[in-house]
Amino acid sequence: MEKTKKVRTLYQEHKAAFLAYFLLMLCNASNLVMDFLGIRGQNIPFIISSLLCLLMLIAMFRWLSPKFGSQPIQEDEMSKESMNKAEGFTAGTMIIMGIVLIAVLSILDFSAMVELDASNIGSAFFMLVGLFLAMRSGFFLLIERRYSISDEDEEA
Amino acid sequence: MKKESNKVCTLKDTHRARMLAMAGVFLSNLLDISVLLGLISEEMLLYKILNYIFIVYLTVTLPMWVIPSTKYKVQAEDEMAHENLNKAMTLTLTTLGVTFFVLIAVAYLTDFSMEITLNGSFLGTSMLIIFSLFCGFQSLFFLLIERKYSISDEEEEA
Repeated sequence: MEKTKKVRTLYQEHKAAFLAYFLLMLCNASNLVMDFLGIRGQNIPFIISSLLCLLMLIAMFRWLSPKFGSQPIQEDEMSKESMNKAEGFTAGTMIIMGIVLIAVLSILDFSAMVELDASNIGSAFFMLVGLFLAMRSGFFLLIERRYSISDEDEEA
Repeated sequence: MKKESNKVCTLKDTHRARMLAMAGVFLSNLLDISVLLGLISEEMLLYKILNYIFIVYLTVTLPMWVIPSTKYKVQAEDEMAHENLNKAMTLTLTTLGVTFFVLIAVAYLTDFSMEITLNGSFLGTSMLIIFSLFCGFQSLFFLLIERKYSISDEEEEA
């Protein structure tokens, strides 16, 4: 019997990646906030963070399982260009967001004493990684969708 | 009528200048964050000397990077350079990821804990450190990959 090799498009790949990274960011951001508020480990926060963690694991599995099944990813010249654009947008957005955040904090004269330990550093790191990669995949999906809509318009 | 300059700066030149500038940004901000964390005092002579050195260094290297890339045309990326830039980006992400993993693991093992004052200044300095690390590593890896290919091309020709 002839086996047909399933191919995954870059759009499908980034759709799954976006969800996984977004939940990674949300999970770590909630941990960080709970830690700063001093409510980490209490009943309701514990249920929320466990739920987020479970959802993240499911999303990660959905994203990674086709990779273990060695489904090749289809990549054309157009999607490569969209990816480049998405990376540019992400870098720009993150820099602007950082500058705005710092400006707002400076204007408000915000200052808080926080305890920096391995758990906080880890959460902050994974939150930033999740934010960066989710944004990258999100921008890619938006650009690809925009192109597919304009292609449909042209055909009509 | 003003003549348009046809001077072109190569991608290699741009990345070399960017790497040098980013090294300065990284070191000067590292010095600033050491003061914010209370590791060194602003009154120390060493801090004052290093601060002046970095100001002079950045005054020289930042225009060396920015002026040519705005004044002259930057050479269009060819397929090879494009691929090398992609490789450099992947290497940068991996290096920074591994570095942070190690940092977190070391902090866990040593049971590290420290009180800091989180404000605009602290966030700004740490953002510039991460930004300069990212850009500096990307340029460095790009230059290393380009050099590796140019050496192997020369060997093939010989």
